[in-house]
Amino acid sequence: MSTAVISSTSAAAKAPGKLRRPSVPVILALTWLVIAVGGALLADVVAPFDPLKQEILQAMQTPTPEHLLGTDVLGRDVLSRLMHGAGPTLSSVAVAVVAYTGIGLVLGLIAGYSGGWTDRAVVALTSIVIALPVIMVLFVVLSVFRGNTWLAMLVFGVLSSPIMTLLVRSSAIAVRNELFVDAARVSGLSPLYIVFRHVLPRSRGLIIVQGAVFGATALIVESSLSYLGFGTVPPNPSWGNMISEASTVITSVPWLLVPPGAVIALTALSLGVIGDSLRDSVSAGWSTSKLTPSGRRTEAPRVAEAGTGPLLAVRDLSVGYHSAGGIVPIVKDVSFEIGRGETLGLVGESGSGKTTVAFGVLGVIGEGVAVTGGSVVFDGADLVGQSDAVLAQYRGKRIAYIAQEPMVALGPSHRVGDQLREAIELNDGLTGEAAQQRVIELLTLVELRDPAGSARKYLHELSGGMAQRVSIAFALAGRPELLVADEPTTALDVTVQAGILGLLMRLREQTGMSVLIITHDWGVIADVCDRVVVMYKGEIVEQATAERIFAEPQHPYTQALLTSNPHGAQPGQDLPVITGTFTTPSMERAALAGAGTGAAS
Amino acid sequence: MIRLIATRIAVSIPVLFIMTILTFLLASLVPGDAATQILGPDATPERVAQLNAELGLDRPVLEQYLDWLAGIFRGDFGTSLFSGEPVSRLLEQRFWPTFWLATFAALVSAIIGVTFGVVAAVKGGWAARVLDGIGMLGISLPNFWVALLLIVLFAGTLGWLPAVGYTAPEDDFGEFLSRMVLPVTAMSFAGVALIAKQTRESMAEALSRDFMRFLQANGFPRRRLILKYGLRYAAIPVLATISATFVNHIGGTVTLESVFAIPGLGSMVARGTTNHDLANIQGAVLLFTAVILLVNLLTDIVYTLLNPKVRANA
Repeated sequence: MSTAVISSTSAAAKAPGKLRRPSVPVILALTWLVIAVGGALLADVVAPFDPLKQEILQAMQTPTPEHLLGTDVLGRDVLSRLMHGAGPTLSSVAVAVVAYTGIGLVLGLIAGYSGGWTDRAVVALTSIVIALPVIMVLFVVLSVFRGNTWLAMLVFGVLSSPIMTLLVRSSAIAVRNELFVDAARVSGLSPLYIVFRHVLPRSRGLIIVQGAVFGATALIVESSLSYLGFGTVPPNPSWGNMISEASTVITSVPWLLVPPGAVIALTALSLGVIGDSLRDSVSAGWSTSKLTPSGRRTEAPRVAEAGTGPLLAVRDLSVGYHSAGGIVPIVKDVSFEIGRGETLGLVGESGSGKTTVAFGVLGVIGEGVAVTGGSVVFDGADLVGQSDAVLAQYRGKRIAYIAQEPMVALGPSHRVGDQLREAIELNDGLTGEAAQQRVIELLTLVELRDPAGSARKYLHELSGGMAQRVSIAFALAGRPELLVADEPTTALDVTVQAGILGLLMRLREQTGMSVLIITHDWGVIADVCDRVVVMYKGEIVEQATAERIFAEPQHPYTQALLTSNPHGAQPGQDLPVITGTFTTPSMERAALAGAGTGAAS
Repeated sequence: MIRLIATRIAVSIPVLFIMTILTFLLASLVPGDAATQILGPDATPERVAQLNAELGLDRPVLEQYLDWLAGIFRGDFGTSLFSGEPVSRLLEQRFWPTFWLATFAALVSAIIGVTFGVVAAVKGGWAARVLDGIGMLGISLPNFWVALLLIVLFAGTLGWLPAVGYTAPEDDFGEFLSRMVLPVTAMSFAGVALIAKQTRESMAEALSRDFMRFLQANGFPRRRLILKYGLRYAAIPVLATISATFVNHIGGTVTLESVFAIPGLGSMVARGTTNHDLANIQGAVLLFTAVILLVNLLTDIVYTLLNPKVRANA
């Protein structure tokens, strides 16, 4: 036994450090913002010309070495006007952003941290302000206070602040409920100190993201107002009124539209890029798709004559997922067969790769995972890498699937009866009334108490046991020859487990189908399986008939797994657990090869 | 469901009142300005006072407000200070151009945005990155600038489409459509970006659900899983974004109707703001607010219809 235990030395890859280097777009965005703000602050010093100086003779020029961005209708230097126009534009955007983040922060922290009626009052206020048509209010403000864009942008910031308030509030609530904040409160620290020391730093990322994105919006709004003539009054420049002036001559010098528009777009884009990059680093990445893309092969090669060999023959099946460092294997060289009418149990602890094998057999391994080798031969035809068109002949029709979690197996937004009917239409060729009858027939077959009533229900209205019966009805819709059941009872209440297992056994007798059942429950194996395959770390360590496995387990891992079966445990004693690491076939091969080379040198 | 609608209406009514009070309060801060505006800076104080009395602007604000409010219930929104026309008639005339513009833009944004979003979610990789880039650009470009560039290109250089102006659909439907193309395109830019982004996120989430694998393994074709089950799962957040886009478009009409010289509510607000024509602004803003609240209410109703869990509880 001691030889079987190998100390694991594979060093886990180090988690990347917290601070990541900013990406190229972020560096470009920051650079642009520095240029824009710097140009605005130093306009008096660095601008090549007086922004108001007219030279009619040089009017409407496209870029020249002297006037880098050309000249406008009155012969004024566009670059200088852009630099001088940045001041009013950016400062009123800043006013809006400060109001937005300031009010959002204060109200959000107060509401989130204090809770109770203060919280309710703030939430009620925000829900009303959010419903106000903000842009319309701005025009009312501007119609009364002419040309006062600063005030308008202040109002814009104030009226938009509920979004920030709600975000800060929820983040403050999350922090407030944490243990260390409780401890700080109990130890008598002042609320203000706690907020600044503990709550605020946690919400910082969120505030910057939201502030940057709002800044982009505010810039667009400010330039719209300015374009409409409600901002900086000509001849003084602002980015928006420069576009408005350019629009009067778009037929003769369309070029004039480009500089001010591009400057606005670049600035808004930079703010957006910064916000987005921060958001991406705050939130987790994309969830991977569970829908498997179509394979490239359009014809299933015949490995053997149909109807002759075993129903399913899996040969050297290897599955891995792509990562930065290459392909990481999940399942290695798995081979087994299932005969017609036979029930095979696939057993192993969590993470041993047994579910991945099932997905490989079904051709639904999902995105980002790939079969890296081997074949899955069903009734003489290799199904690996086949296109959806080929697999359509098998999925649901000849091979069906029951999942571990019945409560998430069906679509949540369609009635279960409608989905079952769809499965019948797809896999059994029935339509109309006949399909509807078959729905009831199948639901009766899986021993649901009220088949017609259950058909009208949504998934969330069913219990786990009922949902699993509906799943089984689903799998039976196409009258399959092979049923793959992935831990069909694990997620269910103990009291209904036996019922579901019994149902599966009765259905197997009635239909004569083969079953691949995945489980970690020796009781299930003993009850239903003809043969057993034991998996460990993605490899098969042993396969034998059910009787033999229980009587004479060969591999140390199988022995350990059998010992840890809680069904045999004595009351009052600790449950047995698996400790140590065991060798797998690939380790043995590697060890042999290593010994060989060692001897040779 | 009825309770949900009732709650939404209960929030809507105070919002409408707040808007009316807001417009009036702000107006009252600068009394008499309207008469000076109409008569010009050279008018005698007596003449100004007389006109103010004629227009009823010398009365207490509260009285004016209640009068105006009572008028609205009779369908009377007052009289434009400049043209002397009843505001209600102006609103009626100017409602449709704005309605078509905002509705078409919302439809176009929804169709293109959802298509882009689904493709990016399903294809992933470069398609998603390209979409991210387009999305960023879409919300960073000022719509009036895009509009001017479109005019330069399609009306100027290529000469394919009329530059500005509006024709009512009942007068000449072909002309109506050709004049709608550029404003709708300019307006849809940001909408497409936002809707595509939301669709991609919600669709990616839908595809990551276990039921996708279960149904695929049991013979449901991929296309049907994406287009029926995936879209259905993603419907609620996507719908919320489409509704928000429509509301944004209503704000956008003010700028774009000015660019394209479309005689709608948006340009009425812009003109009224320049002219200090408060009666016009009050009327238009109130109508806009009512439309926005209505859209939100409809969105809520569709939500409850789409969500079996809410529907069951209501």
